[in-house]
Amino acid sequence: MDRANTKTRMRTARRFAKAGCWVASIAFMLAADPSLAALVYNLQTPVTPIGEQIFDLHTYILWICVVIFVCVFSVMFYSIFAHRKSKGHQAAQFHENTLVEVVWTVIPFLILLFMAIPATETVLAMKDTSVPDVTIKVTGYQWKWGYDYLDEGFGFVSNLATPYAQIYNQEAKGEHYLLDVDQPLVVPAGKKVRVLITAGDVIHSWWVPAFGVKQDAIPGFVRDSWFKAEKPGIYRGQCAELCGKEHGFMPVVVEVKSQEDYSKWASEQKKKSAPAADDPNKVWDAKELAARGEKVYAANCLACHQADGKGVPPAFPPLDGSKVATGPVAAHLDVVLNGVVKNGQPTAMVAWKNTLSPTDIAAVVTYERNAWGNHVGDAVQPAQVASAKR
Amino acid sequence: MSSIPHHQGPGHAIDDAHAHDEHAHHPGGIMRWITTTNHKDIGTLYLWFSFIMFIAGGCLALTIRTELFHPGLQIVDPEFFNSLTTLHGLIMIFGAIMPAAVGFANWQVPLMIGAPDMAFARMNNWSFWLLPFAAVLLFASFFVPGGAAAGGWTLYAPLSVQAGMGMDLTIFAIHIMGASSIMGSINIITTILNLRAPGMTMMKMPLFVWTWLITAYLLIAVMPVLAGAVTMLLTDRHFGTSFFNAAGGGDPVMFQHIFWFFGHPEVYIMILPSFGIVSTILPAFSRKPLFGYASMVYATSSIAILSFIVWAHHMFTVGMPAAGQLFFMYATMLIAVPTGVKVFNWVTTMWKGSMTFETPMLFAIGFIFLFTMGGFTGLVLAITPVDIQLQDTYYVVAHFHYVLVAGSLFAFFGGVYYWLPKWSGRMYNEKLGEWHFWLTMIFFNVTFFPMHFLGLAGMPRRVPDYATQFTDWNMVATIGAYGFGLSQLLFFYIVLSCIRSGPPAPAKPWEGADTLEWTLPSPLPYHTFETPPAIK
Amino acid sequence: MLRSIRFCFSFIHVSRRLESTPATSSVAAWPPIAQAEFCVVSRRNDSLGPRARWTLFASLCAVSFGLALGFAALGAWMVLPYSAAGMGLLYGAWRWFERHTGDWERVTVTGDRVLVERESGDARTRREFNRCWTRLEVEDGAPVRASRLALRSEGESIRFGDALPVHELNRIARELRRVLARR
Ligand SMILES: [Cu+2]
Ligand SMILES: [Cu+2]
Repeated sequence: MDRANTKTRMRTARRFAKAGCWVASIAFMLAADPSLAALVYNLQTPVTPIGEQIFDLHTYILWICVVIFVCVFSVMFYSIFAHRKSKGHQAAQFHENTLVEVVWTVIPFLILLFMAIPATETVLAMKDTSVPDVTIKVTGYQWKWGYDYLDEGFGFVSNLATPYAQIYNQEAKGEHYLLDVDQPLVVPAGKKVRVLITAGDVIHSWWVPAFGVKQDAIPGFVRDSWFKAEKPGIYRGQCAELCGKEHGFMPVVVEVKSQEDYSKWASEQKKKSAPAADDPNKVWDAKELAARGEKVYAANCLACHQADGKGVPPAFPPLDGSKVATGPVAAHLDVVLNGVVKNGQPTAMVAWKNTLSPTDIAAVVTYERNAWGNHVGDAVQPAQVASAKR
Repeated sequence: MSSIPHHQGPGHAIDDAHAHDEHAHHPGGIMRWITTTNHKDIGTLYLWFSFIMFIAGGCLALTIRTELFHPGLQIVDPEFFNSLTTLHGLIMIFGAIMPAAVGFANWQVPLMIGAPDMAFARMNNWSFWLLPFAAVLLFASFFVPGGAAAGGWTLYAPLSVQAGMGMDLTIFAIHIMGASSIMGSINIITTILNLRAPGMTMMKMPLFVWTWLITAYLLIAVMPVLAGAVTMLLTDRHFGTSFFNAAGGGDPVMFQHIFWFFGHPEVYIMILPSFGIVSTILPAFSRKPLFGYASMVYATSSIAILSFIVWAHHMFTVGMPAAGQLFFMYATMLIAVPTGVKVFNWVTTMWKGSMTFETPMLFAIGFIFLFTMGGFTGLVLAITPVDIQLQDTYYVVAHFHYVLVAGSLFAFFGGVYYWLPKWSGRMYNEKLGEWHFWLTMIFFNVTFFPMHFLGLAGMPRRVPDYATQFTDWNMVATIGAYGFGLSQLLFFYIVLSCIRSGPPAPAKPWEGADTLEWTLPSPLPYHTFETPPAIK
Repeated sequence: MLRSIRFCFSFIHVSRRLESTPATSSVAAWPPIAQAEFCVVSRRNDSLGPRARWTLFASLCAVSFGLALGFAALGAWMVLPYSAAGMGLLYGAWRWFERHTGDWERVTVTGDRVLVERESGDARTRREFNRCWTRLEVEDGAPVRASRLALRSEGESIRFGDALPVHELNRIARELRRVLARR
């Protein structure tokens, strides 16, 4: 009997050793890779007061859990070690003990209280969006973020800047692979920024880990959140709610600038958006319009309708020789202004009336009617667009 | 007419079938399985079905892990990737975990309460045979224009309103599986309440029966909610309603409220039967009664009741008012109390026992250890501010795989090893069983433990590609996933070789087992029963 | 002989226990057991009883419809038809179950006769076989292991004992086989 027990124990020990070897060899394989120098394993370093509270709260709760875990399982593993049949341990037959059962109901309850108190404080702090210094509207689209500075009166769209060649492994991946945008959100340091968050199509979620902000962007509803970033720098996050094909490719990048830098940047932005405020009654000549239209086309339409105007049928119809681009102006304007709706569902052709200025629309429509094989020859004026918009 | 031979020794059980000269005629081959109304047959069908779904869902998971081995897009395109995560979730939840639990109920409930069969034998047959149709619909959806549903298993509107025809097939599949679940749970509730043997009072029922009774209650309460939710999705998609469409006066967040009102109880539907299995295995191998039977029953019931008031902890980031967030945080934290009672009970049951560590016991201990970890990460996620940081990251993925794989699935493995000798009349290979446990245990942790780190560091879930700082842990997870997947082939081999050529099992292979089914011979029915069951 | 009488008693004992539960009114309607060599009565145990059953049903309805009406108030009325369907199914199932709580079967062996009587719902059937020609069939083909019993005589087969748990069925099979063989 005894010998059998020793044998079993040795077998168990060997089994443990073998398992250990496996784990060790995998760990070794991984450790040998030089790129593994900096393994990520914790929340990102927070830069806002809320972010810090969340970080500390997580650490605090994690350690309480670890302590309880160690206590409970040292009892269990001691028991596994000591109360085994192979050691000749006789089973006790006790069960039910009201005192013990009350104690292990009440103590966890008290521990929970100690967790709930700091958590409640943080919840209330996170919800306090009053008296902001800057208010920015964030809109989630499939698959980019729109930012509108409500106090300043300008806005822009922020797209993924990582080239497709990197994503499809044709090029080495850059430093901020997938977390880089063409135009980041810029905010002043040390100021309370309130973000109004909504979406244009499906639900997205605007998330910057270092700020401790994650708020779902819900179409048709506006929700808000706030942050006060103390340290200038660039902070990166991602859309956190599955929003379709390119959900993994719509990063959030926030650049925190000192107050002076921010003011300088903001006034530049205002100036840049000035062309949008062209005199809507100015009468342009066709050449001017077409030249400007080409730029507008390249920025907004080319992705789908292609540089040669041939589109990618059937998903993206061609413009070159199309009925719309060579037919009556009114119908063409209607498509560009209001988009195309099929069976009550918006299609990939969205409405541009709120995104582009009347001048830009006039320009791009003129361009489309006179580019490639299209030679309608007319020039659409901003005033026409403005009246069609009504 | 031959006289009845007496079989006392274990070795004869297998040959009994051949000792008789008279056998009733019943359909053979495939027809037997299609027409069967026997609870044991149907239990077997459920378990095999769920194993097939487990392997299929596992293949989807391995495709996901392969894509995520490196950053960049390698083997699948993003839309198909989303279909993979969606179908992996749906298949594992509705195809693998839930049917496996129903399979255990079919086999064990009648045996454990001394009932002749399930209360509605014909309906039992229907509720199983609906499932393959649902599975076919789900798999077929990969091949329709637009591909399979790709909005996540949670099917959030309006993304799922936007989707192609695959979504409609998924909705029909969910309806069919829901109907099957409702019929199954009506059957189980009726069997447990109405068909107990004389003397089998409620508080004498084995815990497995108790947990299934409560599970069936939950199912009956929340399956209509899911059915309603997906129907509204369907009408929003095709019949011009605007339940979840803001432009038409609806609210996309309402879908989430309805979905999670079903979804949170669903979590307990998946874990309670496993609690029951573990509570059966532990005392048997500790050779000591369960420490607090009554408190286990009360803890299970209070978990079930609490499960109806915590749903919005899945929605802390939709932007509820502070009062809402606090209510759902407190309610969720409260669940830790009855769950703690369960864990303490299990540990105390082992305390001063006389333990042996056969495969079922190993899986039960692995369950307690890892499920508790999943419970603790659940507590971390209950804390609203922390959840807002971790919502929709890999931390959540790690959390629910700790409770559903290391929780439900480990308990099911334990249950199969524990009862297989009773079901099949043959013993499995103990040494291989222990191998299966250790491989599963190690690779499970290699796969899912690093996901905590990924989530904390900021990797969102449901992405086909990721920033380069997440590469290392993703590689570890993928290696682990392959190990985990391959280990399950060993399980298949063990079960198959047990059924086909295992050595005959004694009537009671586990010294400490004390529920009713062990008083019967192995394999189950016919013969050599000497004394009627004495219910203590 | 002695043995079979003891056996018969043991089952009368079972039926006595059943009498203490509600809904056993039909027990009184059983014909008296004559000088039987073998006699066994089988019926399902109704461990809940109609009172508790319908109270429970009402509480389930309250929960299910309560939820559905709550959702309907929020605009999501489509939960309601499914709640109704679920509760309807449960009602139908329990009605059916209740109609069959009084079902019983009896197999009696006396002299050269084997008598199988059955009451299911409202239908009452009675079959008499010649003992010499009657054999016991056991459904136990692996891997089904459906332990069902049937009596076969002159090309006719009648199943019985479906309402008994496996262990009781086993005892009956042993005993009945012995009795039939003795003749
Ligand atoms: Cu998004
Ligand atoms: Cu939940």
